[in-house]
Amino acid sequence: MTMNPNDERDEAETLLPWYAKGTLDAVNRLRVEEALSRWPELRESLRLVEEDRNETIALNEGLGAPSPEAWARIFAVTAAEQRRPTVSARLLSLVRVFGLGAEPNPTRLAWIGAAAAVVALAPSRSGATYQTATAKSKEGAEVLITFAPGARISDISAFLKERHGSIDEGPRNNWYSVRFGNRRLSTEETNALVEELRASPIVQSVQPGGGD
Amino acid sequence: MSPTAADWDNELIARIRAGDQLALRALYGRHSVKVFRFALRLLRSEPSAEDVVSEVFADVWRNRGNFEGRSEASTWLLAMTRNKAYSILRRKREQELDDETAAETEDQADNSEVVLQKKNKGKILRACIERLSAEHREVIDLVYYQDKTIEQIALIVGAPEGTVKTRMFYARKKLSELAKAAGLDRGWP
Repeated sequence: MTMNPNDERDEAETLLPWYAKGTLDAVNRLRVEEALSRWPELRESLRLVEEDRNETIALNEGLGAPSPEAWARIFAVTAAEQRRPTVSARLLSLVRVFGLGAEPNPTRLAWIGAAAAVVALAPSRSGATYQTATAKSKEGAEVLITFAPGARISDISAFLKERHGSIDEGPRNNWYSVRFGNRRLSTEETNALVEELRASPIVQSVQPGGGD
Repeated sequence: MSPTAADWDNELIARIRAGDQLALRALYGRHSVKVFRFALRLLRSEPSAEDVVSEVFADVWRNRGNFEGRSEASTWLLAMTRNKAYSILRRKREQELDDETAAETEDQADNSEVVLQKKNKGKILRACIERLSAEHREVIDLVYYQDKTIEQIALIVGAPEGTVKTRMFYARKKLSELAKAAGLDRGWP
């Protein structure tokens, strides 16, 4: 079916941006070239399209690139995944990381699901990567921590060393599971530890873990 | 015949599917800048754009078994980027951003006589491109900067090809209107 001349001209006008970029297929390219010959005023439209194209490219080229931190967060995801041997172990790990104990009730299970969804969606911006223990200790007090965005790895290392802490898991949506000391603490002792950790400038948030 | 960019990407995707982290690093090296810029143009926030970059490539790794090769890797990556960016935009209430844009445009129009000089033409156009709605910025970038065909853009934005052509036409029209309001009358449309 043949298009009427006005439709043909309008169609060529809509195709001009792709024509100017050289991303039209052969049939449409020929169509635009014929229209440009037939309606010379389209050449002015093409000139404006080329102006728009050039300025769009200039604008984008001035935008820079992602910082190394972006790759560090991706690397953390790949490294964390390779440490996870099985699905069931991953679920158990989530139960531990979010402090829900060995026998989670339905409410707690729902919370695990929500937390897992958050973890799956987004590694966070603080994102520095840390080497976690290859074999988890069953001793010590488990605490969940997010570090302040500006905290350096050296600061965190010194912080952990000073308190006999080691990272069990993380980061997962910014949270690390950290184990302190070598014995199980009472609730009062854990609360005191949490208060002490909370006072550190390199700690953003802290809450007691669930134990093993 | 030498391998095309798409061939390299397909090779990398195949290696990623086999669990090769270095291949993911290589794919990141090839595409992260354009993904970042696409996200940044939509979100107007470097931290948010960087988050999107991380999420997109982390998803490539997590979902590496699901890539079926029906589209080029760059098209697939931009589609994922768009979805994540729009989720963030929805949370930020895009309408508020558009209101700010309208106010800025009016200010610019007030100063049109001052800014209208030939040497500033490019600057005015770039400022107007920045002021387009997210939908119009997106299609302009996909055509002019990301070098995507009509068919590829349709895949990325999830719309029919006719809609893509119409949207691009209205993006150009809006751009010319903004330029005119800023004192740069290009005589079109």
